[in-house]
Amino acid sequence: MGEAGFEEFIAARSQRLLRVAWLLTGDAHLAEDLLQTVLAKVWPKWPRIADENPEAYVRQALVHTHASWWRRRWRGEVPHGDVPDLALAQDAYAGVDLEQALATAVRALPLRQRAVVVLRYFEDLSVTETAEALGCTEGTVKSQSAKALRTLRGLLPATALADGGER
Amino acid sequence: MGEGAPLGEAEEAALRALLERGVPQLGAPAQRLERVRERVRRRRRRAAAVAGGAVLAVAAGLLAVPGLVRTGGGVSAAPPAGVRGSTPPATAPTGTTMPPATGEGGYRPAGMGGLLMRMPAGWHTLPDPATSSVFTSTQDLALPEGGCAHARDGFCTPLVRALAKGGALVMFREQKYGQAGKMHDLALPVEEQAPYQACRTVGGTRQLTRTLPDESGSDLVVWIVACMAEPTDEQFAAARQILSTAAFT
Repeated sequence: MGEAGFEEFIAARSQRLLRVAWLLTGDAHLAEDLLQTVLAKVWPKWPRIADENPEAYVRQALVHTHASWWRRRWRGEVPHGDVPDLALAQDAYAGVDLEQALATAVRALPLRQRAVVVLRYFEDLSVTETAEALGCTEGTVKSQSAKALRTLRGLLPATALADGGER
Repeated sequence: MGEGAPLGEAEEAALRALLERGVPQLGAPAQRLERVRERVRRRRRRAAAVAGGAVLAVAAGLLAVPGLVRTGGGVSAAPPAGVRGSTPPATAPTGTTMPPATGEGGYRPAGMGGLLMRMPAGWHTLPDPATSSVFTSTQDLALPEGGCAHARDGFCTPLVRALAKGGALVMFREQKYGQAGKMHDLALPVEEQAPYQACRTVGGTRQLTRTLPDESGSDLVVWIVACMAEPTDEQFAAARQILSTAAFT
């Protein structure tokens, strides 16, 4: 699969990968920048990875590149304390934009928890696959999942994790 | 839903549904592919420029006059054996010093909280208070002109010469997180990653990183990057040891 294969891959899969990038960054512009950065890194390696599992490769590259950005820029990130308590008023949830609430909550997660949420709950990878992608143990994935869910419980509207936002 | 409630499959399923609904379907820019192409072209141009620069640097290294660079202890620096390239500092180099050993068998740099570093004998160190950094290397060190504040990738490489084969440079950069709580969440283990451009520019081929927060109540975090040039397994393990044994005590 040559350049045409890469173009086909972008056409077919970039929408999903862009959503992964959005969930990592919590920002549409950063997500597009992250995706383009990763695609530019992947393109020269395409002949080598095309016949394997290119989507998994790109997904892992997204996580690692985002981690690399985060390491350089983490001082600019909004730490936990500044996150508005969206769970205060359950009734107000109807007026709160789910996308904004989710972006705020996800940005409040530490890097590794954020990656675990993306891979396990958005990309639906198993604990084993998530551990392999992040280069950590399955126990770490489980503990980070639990922490992330606890954090999200405190940041998202009370019903969100009960009904999947069906309101 | 209480904070301490156990996680259940229903809750995990609800989170999956929430993410699927809440993550927006973003529009694709019309020229995404062309933009990616342009980024690839830029990366290739940069790589070519770096390769060209390395050739010039080797030539400059061959012309370098021994004794021009003065290192710690007043010893003239002859180029280390096996040096492949040269990145001489633009300014008179700051003297590098051997780290003063502590009774704890390590080196505790000034102004870095309670950070204790352990490194093999014979390594050089160079503190840079302007960026709250300490560098340690198998080779001579000197701050570049303009200091390290604007280093590419945030990784400064204050080497007198490019890394020789088997050489290593480790940067400890302290930053304040701004919040003393939840420091543990900032911790990232020692892991290998693709070398930064800055590392590759000085001949590095492999890179290790670690993020080490001070969990004793301060808001200090130390970001550690080790850049190595074609290390043997033993040399790689030695660098990993430096990263893994660093600790706030």
